[in-house]
Amino acid sequence: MSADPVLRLQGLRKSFGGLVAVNDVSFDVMRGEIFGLIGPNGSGKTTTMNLISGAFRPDQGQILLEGQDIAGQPAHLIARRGIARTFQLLRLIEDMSVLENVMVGLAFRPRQPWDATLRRRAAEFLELVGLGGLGGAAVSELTYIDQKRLELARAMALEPKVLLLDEWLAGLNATELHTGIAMIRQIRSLGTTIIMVEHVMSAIHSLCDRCVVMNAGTRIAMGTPAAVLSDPLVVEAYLGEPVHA
Amino acid sequence: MNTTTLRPYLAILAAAGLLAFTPLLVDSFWLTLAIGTLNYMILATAWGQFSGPTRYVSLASVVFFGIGAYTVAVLGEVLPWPLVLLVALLTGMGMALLVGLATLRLAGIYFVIFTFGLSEMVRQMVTWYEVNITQSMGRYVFLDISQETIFWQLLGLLTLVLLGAVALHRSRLGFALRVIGGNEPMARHFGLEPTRAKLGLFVASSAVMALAGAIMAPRWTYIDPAIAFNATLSFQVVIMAMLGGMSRLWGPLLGALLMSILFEILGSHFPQAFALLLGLVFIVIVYLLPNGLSGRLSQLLARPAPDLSLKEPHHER
Amino acid sequence: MFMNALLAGLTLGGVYALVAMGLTIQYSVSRTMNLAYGEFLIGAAFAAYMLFGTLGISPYLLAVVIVPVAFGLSWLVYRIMATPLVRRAGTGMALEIDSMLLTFGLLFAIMGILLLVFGSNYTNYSYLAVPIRILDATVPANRLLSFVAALVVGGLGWVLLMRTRTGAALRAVAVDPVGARLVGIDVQWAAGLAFGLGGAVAALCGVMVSTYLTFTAEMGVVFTMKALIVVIMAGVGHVPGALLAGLSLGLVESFVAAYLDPGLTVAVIYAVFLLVLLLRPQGIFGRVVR
Repeated sequence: MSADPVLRLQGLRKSFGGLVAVNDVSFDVMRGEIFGLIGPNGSGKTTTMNLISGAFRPDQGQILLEGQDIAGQPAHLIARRGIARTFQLLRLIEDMSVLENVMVGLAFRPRQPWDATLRRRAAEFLELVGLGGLGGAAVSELTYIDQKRLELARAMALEPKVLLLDEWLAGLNATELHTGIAMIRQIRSLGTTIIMVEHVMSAIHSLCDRCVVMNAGTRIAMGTPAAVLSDPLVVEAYLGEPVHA
Repeated sequence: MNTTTLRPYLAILAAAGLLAFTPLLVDSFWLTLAIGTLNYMILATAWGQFSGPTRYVSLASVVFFGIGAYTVAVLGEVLPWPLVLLVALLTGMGMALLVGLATLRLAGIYFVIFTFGLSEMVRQMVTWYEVNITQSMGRYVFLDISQETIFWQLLGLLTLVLLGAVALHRSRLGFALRVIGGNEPMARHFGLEPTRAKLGLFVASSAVMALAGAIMAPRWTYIDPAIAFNATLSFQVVIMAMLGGMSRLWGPLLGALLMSILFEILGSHFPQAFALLLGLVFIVIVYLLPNGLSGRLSQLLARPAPDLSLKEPHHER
Repeated sequence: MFMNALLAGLTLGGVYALVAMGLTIQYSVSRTMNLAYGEFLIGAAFAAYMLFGTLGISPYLLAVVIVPVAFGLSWLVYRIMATPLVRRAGTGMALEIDSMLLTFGLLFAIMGILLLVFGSNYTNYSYLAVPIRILDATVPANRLLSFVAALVVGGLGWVLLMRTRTGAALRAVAVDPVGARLVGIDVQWAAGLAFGLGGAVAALCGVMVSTYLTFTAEMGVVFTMKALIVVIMAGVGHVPGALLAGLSLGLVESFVAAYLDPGLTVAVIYAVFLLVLLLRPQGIFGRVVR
């Protein structure tokens, strides 16, 4: 991890009708870092991810990717600039093979030729997530964790500067969680910066260099996982109002 | 390139070459039927190439077909034939570009509804123009183009469309359309801009329909807006493509062939039952053949022996 | 001329408003875009024509029979034909396409039956065509009555949706079918009911317009098309919006016919529709859903 921020969020704000989902949120993500985005349900984590990936357009604020403002740009341009994501509810294409699903990540990259190398490279990304040799299978033949791996392979196929993982570890059992954590570490070791929205606290503890805690759309804490999770404000946000006697 | 990649192209060319002898072998009744069938095959294939992967159900086929036919009615005796075809092509593309730009950003349901009413609007506008500006309702098309020539032109167009469809299926654009049909919001996050891909194909598909309309126009000798923009044609095209199924290239061809025969038998014996039949075929497709005949056949061929012991579905989650 | 155009526009718009109200209830609750909607209207018009001709009973009295029958038929169509599709495809795009194809089928099937029974001739009969003077314009009593009926039924529909428990259930399903199921609403029951109500409204319109309009078995799509335009312009599921947009559509049509050219009504309506699609695809009264 180096000290130059690859992604800077500055004063980001998004409201839906009267509801302010993200309210003046700022933070820097350093290159090569695993950065956690945590908070109770409805705190604005996923909306923040959606603003970064271009699914929503922020009302205010800047999102600087390597110094260039990408806030409000359409999603496909943001993807081409090097931000990839996975989806909380898996979005795989059922009537395509496993390999073709990975090809989705490759096919629309800038300057990507459309030829035989594409399939070969897609197979390499399947290899990377441990699905080597399963390219010909149908998506429905994969187990849940393997479908999650496939989502990861597709996102990695963009060779992103920043990878957004939206509750990628959710719903895995203890063994699978172990594998999943190892896989995220492996991806970071390739030089990819990772921002993860996650509820699994053990994963946050063991993976994240730093994290931001959000509550009701605002940032309430930032720092190492150990530090923020012992912050009284954070404890209050998770456990509700402190009991007054 | 090796032989397997060339094989579909060669197969299409060989089949077209054989079919080219048809006018020399059959009498005028069969030639007329063959011309009608070829026209439906072109329209259904062009429709399926756009609507199959994107799932945007277009009911505007007759708009582009009619534009092609009307171009011939207006310019047929003024310009040389290749130029007439070119104008028909360009007019159809221009119209498709307008319609596509206005509607393809929106959800599929808006597209259906917009195209549903488009033929009525175009018909009324052409009628208004003819009545008020040119002061005449219908137009005569007296062109010295034989039935045989029409057959060959249609066969040539169909061949081009099929070759193009094979090439499209293997291209990045073809892949993009499958991704869009699979999950459009997801596709955007991987660098794909869906509207441009959809628009490109819609324009190409509409251009083919306009050409078909232009080639068919000399068969009528008399054209008025009600003939050229008869909305039923749009529905016929949908039903042929869906009956045949769009997961295979030959699906719409099969659908067009079957429905042409059915229309022919019905048209001569029970003309009153035409609409009812169209309705019943739609309902049969929805309940029994959701992927069309080609989808059903591929399914049957893929699983020759249904093993009842495997009926229990897998629960993997 | 102005008063005449205004009155003609209002009476026409009243019918459009009512037609669109039925369709928007059907679509927003059942998520089935019923492209055979106009055929229910024309079917009712033919039923009124036939029964009036054979029994000589006032069409307005006949409506008391035809409308409930149409409710039952629409309800049956939904239960028998659409429910299996919902079971197969769940929600989302596959269901929308399947149900659209199904209603294409119904459109042609009903049209085909009407053609076989009544032929393709223009049909009309006249009932209560006595002129009534309003200010310096005249309007036939049957048109005026259909306008009054549109106001009354529109108002009743509004009360049903906003002030009753059933209406609240229908609205809940329209907003969020999954959430509605979680709070114990039978979504399929609600969808069937909405479909039936829409069919009943269409039939009422059919009886009303049959007293003064010349109609053919193939005219259903014209009403479907106009209802669809009104529904989308207003914003899907927005009942008062549909009533207002329907009235405006009638006025636009009547004024274009009176001052511009009767041959351009569809073109002008379409231009307005296109403008709405380009500028406010969620409809004039619709809200952006995330």
